[in-house]
Amino acid sequence: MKLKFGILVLCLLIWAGQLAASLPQISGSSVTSFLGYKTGDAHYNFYQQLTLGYRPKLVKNFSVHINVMGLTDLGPARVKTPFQVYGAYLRWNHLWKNRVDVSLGRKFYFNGVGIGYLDGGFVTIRPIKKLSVAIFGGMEVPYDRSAKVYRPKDGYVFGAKVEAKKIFGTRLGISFYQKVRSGSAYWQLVGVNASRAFGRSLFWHTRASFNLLESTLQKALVNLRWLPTPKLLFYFEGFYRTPHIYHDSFFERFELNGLAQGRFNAVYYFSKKYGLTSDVLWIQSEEKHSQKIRLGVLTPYGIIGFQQDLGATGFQTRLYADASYAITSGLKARLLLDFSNYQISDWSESYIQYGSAFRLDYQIKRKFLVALEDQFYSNRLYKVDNRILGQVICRF
Amino acid sequence: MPILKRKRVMKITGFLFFIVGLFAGVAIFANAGQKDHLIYSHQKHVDEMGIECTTCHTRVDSSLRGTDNLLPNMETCFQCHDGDSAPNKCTICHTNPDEAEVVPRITTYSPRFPHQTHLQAGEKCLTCHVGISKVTNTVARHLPKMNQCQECHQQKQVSDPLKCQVCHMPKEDLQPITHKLEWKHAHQFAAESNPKDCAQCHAQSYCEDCHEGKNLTHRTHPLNYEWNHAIDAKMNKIQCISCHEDEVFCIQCHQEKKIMPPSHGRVDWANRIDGGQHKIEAEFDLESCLACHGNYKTYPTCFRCHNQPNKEE
Repeated sequence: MKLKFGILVLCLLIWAGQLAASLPQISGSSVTSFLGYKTGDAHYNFYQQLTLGYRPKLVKNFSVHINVMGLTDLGPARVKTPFQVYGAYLRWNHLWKNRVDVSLGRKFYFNGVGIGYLDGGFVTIRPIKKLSVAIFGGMEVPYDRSAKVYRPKDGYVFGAKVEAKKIFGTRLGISFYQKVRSGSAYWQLVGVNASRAFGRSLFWHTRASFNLLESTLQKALVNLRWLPTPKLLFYFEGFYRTPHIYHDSFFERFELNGLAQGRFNAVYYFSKKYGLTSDVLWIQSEEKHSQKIRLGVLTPYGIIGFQQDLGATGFQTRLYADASYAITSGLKARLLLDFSNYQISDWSESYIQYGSAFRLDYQIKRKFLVALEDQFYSNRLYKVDNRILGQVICRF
Repeated sequence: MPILKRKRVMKITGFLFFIVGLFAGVAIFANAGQKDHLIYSHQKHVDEMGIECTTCHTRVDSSLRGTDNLLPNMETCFQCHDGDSAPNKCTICHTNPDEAEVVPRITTYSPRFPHQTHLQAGEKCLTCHVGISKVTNTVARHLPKMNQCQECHQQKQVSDPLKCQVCHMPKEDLQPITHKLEWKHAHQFAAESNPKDCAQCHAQSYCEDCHEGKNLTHRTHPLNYEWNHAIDAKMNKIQCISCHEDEVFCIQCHQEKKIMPPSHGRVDWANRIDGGQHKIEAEFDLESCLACHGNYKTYPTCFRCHNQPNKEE
């Protein structure tokens, strides 16, 4: 029954994609994928993703946006959520002399302190040119992105962000975010963010959030991105965070220790096409610390890299490559290689994993592409796991 | 005035003359080789005198390409600056007429941009060249930015503003230089600072290709990430949270597939004396415990020992 339902959903989505492509006011994409592999049972997974943006000519400033996926497994395995909705909302933009934008439905949001998907309403008001006020509220979306909409009594989320542009050249924002369930707030944050570009080469961004229920600093972040020349980049990031533990969680009873994190990255193109990248990430708690080091060679075809993880988070020595090559104007090949020797913690065993993928993309028309990919995995559970991925991508 | 005091005044005056002379000398020296600059005020010509843009930019209403040279030449200026109705001295327009230079022409603007079509549609020059009628020099170019074009095209439903080919050439390299340098990590801050900049080229579904979906093509996570993701999950959880916004994402696999970390099998993992190894681990990364024990509706395994009402260290 579920298999039939899955196939029906797929057929409907393919039909909707074809219909959409024939209407000029519609833009979007249709991605049909097949992934076949055998790990115990044989799996024949079909995925149909459909992204649509519809702007009717008759209704000014109005649009409909949909991003859905249907999936089914023609093998014996069961697909838990055969129809997934990533986005489905109506949008009215530039209302009231371009002062108000309104969206209604399932949509992604990020207001500096809150992030995720909501089934709800989103309003942005620009009372003056340099000031915007964004308000949103609704119910959280199921983690498996099923079409189910939670009831407000199960819990709801709301938030706001007031942002001023270019006060002494700086963009400043204040955000609020609250999650409520069983009638009481279990996550309540207030945050500030500021960013500024100094000329065309130096970018500064900082963000901090404060947990009002616990009276703790939840996160603080500062990053600087400096491009002294178009071929050279320096990037620094400093970060502090307290664990993300809700107020009604059992774990809230523990004293929470924060983690500090620093990252330094440099990229240098020594010729027009070739460059080097290096990345050092360091993390520190009160007693433990960990480091990640990455080195890479950038080429016109992609990257070849080396990574080393050390310390409390685990150990890993990794080599990887991601390269693409245009064989003809319509035919492109991509090769992925990934090898690592890793240990999740200092008392666990060390394992070797190896993965590779070879992909051919053939662009039949400007907006129509077919792809075939062979994926090979070898890991601690499956010594040989070979998978075939086929894709048909159509943009309209 | 006593002689000593007079001498001091003379010294100070001499010093001041020296400084002024030095600056004057530097200024004269610097000016001697000064490059020519055009002296021109749009404010005076357009705002104060009410001269139409097409009086000087004569070919604008027939221009079909953004690379057309639409700046006036000297003959155009001399039509008014004929010495009678307006002065025609060289220094009226040039800072250094002896080494007069031609003002650089705009050659890099979109070749597909037609002034003619926009003017025929009834658009005014100042709709796109916002504020140029108030400008008193020729430094600022006042060319419209891409988001201005897109806003107008969207509002007036001229064309899909996200269809690049409306303005750009088929093989034009449209990727900004910033995107070529470690952009995978840094784009989050640009996206937060100015989401409209991203929206100039990318629809929200572009973000969802990586931030959602099934990672079928490994653009987001590398091959075999299911097996070694634990290192990143402990090291850099902030990255995980940007897509997997809650611990429920971890719970679905870890609880359903009953994946127990190898550490839990250690003899010294937990004891009632000093907590054992699990205390040290939890202090470093409490969120990892939540991946299995985090359902807020039930008391987890931890409650068997941690059942005191007060806060615990």
